[in-house]
Amino acid sequence: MIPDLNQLDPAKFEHLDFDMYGQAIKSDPSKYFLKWAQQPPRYIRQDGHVHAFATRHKDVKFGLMNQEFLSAVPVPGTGLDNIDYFNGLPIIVEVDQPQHTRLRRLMQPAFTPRRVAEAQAGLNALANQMMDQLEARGTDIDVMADIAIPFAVTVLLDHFLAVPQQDWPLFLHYSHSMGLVGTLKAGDPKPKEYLDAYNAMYAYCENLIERRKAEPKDDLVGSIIASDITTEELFATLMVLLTGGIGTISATIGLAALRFGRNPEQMELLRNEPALINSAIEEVLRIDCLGNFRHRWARQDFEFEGLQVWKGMAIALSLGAANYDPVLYPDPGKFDIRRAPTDVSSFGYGIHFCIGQAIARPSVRTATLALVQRFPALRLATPDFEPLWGGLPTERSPVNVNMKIK
Amino acid sequence: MLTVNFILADGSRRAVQIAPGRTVKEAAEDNLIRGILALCGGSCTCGTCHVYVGEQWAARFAPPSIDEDALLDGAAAERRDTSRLSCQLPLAEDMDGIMVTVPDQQQ
Repeated sequence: MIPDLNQLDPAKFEHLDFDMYGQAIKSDPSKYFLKWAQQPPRYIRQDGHVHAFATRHKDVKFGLMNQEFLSAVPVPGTGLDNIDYFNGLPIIVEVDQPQHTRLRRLMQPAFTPRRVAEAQAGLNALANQMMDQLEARGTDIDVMADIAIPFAVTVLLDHFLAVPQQDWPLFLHYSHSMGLVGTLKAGDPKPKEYLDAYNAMYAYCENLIERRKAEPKDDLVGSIIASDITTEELFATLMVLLTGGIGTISATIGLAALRFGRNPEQMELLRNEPALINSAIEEVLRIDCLGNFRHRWARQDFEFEGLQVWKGMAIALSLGAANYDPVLYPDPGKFDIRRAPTDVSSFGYGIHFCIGQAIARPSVRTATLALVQRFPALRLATPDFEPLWGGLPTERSPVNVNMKIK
Repeated sequence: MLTVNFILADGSRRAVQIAPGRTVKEAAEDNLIRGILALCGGSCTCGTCHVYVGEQWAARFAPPSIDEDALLDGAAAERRDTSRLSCQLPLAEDMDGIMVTVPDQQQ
């Protein structure tokens, strides 16, 4: 039983004087992460609830890998009920073993390193084609609208999932509407726009299942549909596959462009030494982690590096802060594309390690390198350019990254 | 302590020490052996800690689970009879001197 607030040791609390899901941390998380990355687990208050809060690399990694003490299944009434992007469906990221194992096995064949390596030529061609179009167009671009989003959408929907192009707007609309859910107050009904988009996607998936049962195809969607899972699980799995990746890939391309725009000497270094691209994107993933936080829930009472955690308590894990841990990354606030950081936490760890990272990493590398190499004059629209910040509440994604290419 | 002999993709060799009970992936990680990524942290989830185990040692490990088997099928480098995910290879006391080859590609 989680004790009342006033029974807990006040010295074990950190008072957060800002909105964990607000603009301040999305705009400049480093000022929080540099401090958090050196602090042991402690309590925070979130929406009137007590959460444990882990921010050092080793604690975040433990929180994501351990399954004995921690569960990915949300406990209702812990102040996180509004973070429900899939309307309560049993999605893979919020189930434990053995259900998780079953769902993961269905998705795994699409995301093997070999399959992704085979797709690399297609990624290169797509990136070059997009740069050709931009080159013919003018000087001013918005990296999000002109490159990141169309690149992510085409890679996922066309190259990997083979969704007909006339159906793409449905997926894009749902993907965008997910952002509306996170801004709700606890107990608020979901907005009509979100529910309309959700219902349209649900209907689409039901229809897709019917069509594929009538006319089977030997591809990823076909193999999922052919397997023994419930319609709800199937729908949830498709939803995650079809929508979950778009925001992740596009945000990381945008974050990379913004980071290079603010560090032109590092951009020049990459242009001169393109073999640094893998190290460069690992460094972008480290310093500009898309996910500020993930949550887990305690299965039982346990002591977490000296902090008492009770069964049912939510534990907020800051992936972004873990990436600033000076134990692993000296001078963590410095963007250095030669750093070649390892053990970067941005895609999580353990059984829930992001299955789509196998696509996300090469996608971000390909789009970023094409942009940097094609346009030697690439720079931010203004030296002090600051994007609008969006993305899901627990994440950070630039809405626009305005740059000049000539 | 046991000695694990790594043969890297460029042909160079590194001999490292590790306590019994720990895994080949941990031996690589603790000694900054290049080419073993283990992006998921070592939970048989990503297929990026692929190694080739020396022939006389390969049979001493428990056979791959169905998840490891599927990941090895999709590994970036060629799958061979001795292919394993190094996170799934706990070292026993009688494995001193084991040879492990690192493939040229993990992703």
